[in-house]
Amino acid sequence: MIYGALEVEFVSLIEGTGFSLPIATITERVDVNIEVTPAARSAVKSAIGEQIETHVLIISAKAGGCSGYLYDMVVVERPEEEGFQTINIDGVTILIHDNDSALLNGLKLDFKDSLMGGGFHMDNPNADRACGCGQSFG
Amino acid sequence: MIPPLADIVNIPTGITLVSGKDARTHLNRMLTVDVSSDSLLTRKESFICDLNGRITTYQLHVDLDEQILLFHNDSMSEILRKTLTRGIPWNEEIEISSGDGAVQRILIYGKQPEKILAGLGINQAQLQSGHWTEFLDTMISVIKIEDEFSIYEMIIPSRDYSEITDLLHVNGAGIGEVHSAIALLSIAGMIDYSIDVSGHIPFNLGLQRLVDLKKGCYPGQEIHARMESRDGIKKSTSTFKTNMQMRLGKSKSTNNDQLEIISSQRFGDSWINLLIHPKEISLSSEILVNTPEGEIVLKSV
Repeated sequence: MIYGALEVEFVSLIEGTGFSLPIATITERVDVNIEVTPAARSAVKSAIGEQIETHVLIISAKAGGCSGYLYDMVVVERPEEEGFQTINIDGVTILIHDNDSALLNGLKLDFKDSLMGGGFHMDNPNADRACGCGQSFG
Repeated sequence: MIPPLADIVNIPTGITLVSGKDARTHLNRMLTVDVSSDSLLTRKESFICDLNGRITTYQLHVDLDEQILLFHNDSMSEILRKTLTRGIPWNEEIEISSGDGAVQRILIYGKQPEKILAGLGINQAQLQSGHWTEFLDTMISVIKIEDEFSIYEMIIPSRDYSEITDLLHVNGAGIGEVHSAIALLSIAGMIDYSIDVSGHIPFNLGLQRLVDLKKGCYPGQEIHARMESRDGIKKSTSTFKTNMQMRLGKSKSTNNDQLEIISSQRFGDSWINLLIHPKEISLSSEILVNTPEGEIVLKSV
């Protein structure tokens, strides 16, 4: 392994026994319903463009941010992984992972077209609090 | 008191392993410090805080690239692992495992631990506090070098523990005591990870260096930023000596100042205490504390 300009041996500190198997996470799965406003539908379609047959929008929640969770939205080629729930809106496929379903169920996705504070906005009924920037909730 | 050469002591600790190619990214979203630029063998300390900016966990990092070992108070193990296993994104590879008992953390402390390290072929001048250096299958780093003493830290796989500690003893190391080692850390102005600091604001512990307000959002960041910008840091932590053990928890001085003892460790004939106190208290003077046992004098160290 190369470390800086030095070549060092593989770290054997954690080789061998003593470590547990990965700790399993139990997450609640719910059937997801989300609302996408006309402005957001238009913006999502615009973002996906001509790849609408092969690509999907994935909305997810990950740990972090000021309020505990961060929203994430990506347009990607339909993933092979299992565990997603599919929502079709005007020909656009939106995926939400089962692990995020309880956090994102009932989400309202909106889009504001303005120079300041513009872009996608989330209104999440599961959130007790949200960050001022709108990207984090908890 | 301070060993003339050095003593070694095993510090009981909880160990959590965060592994996977996105381990560092996942941690970085939650920690109060920026680990995004860390690399193999980085040594770092960090907090995870709640939304009110109070410490949930306090940990030491041993960065092994796609495997990051965290050493922490063992009473924090459950909450740390629960925190780290939630919010793992669908497209990231992260696994959380318990390493309790798999690896040991020892402190080597005294007036001349460098002589013992030299006997092992370790040049202390090459050790850095922000970096781990490999020695056989162990990791070693320097915690503090003072005029009167030095403290080094070693991480040893349990399978090699006897062999390595025998090697240290052969080179002159004595058998130390946990309370003496933690007391010496307190004298050096450090708070060991084995001390429970949960529920406290990092600033009140004097650990501003573990709060990075430029790294972006993390749980508690808004509170920390507001405290820092509005001069809201009203408390500090200092080391005081007493002639008896102090009860941990809140108490009041005879001047009615709110105080809190977070550690009280025997060191020779006296006790070394970590005390959270109002910033404006003069540290040059003694503090008289009301306790059920009567008034106790705390002398600044």
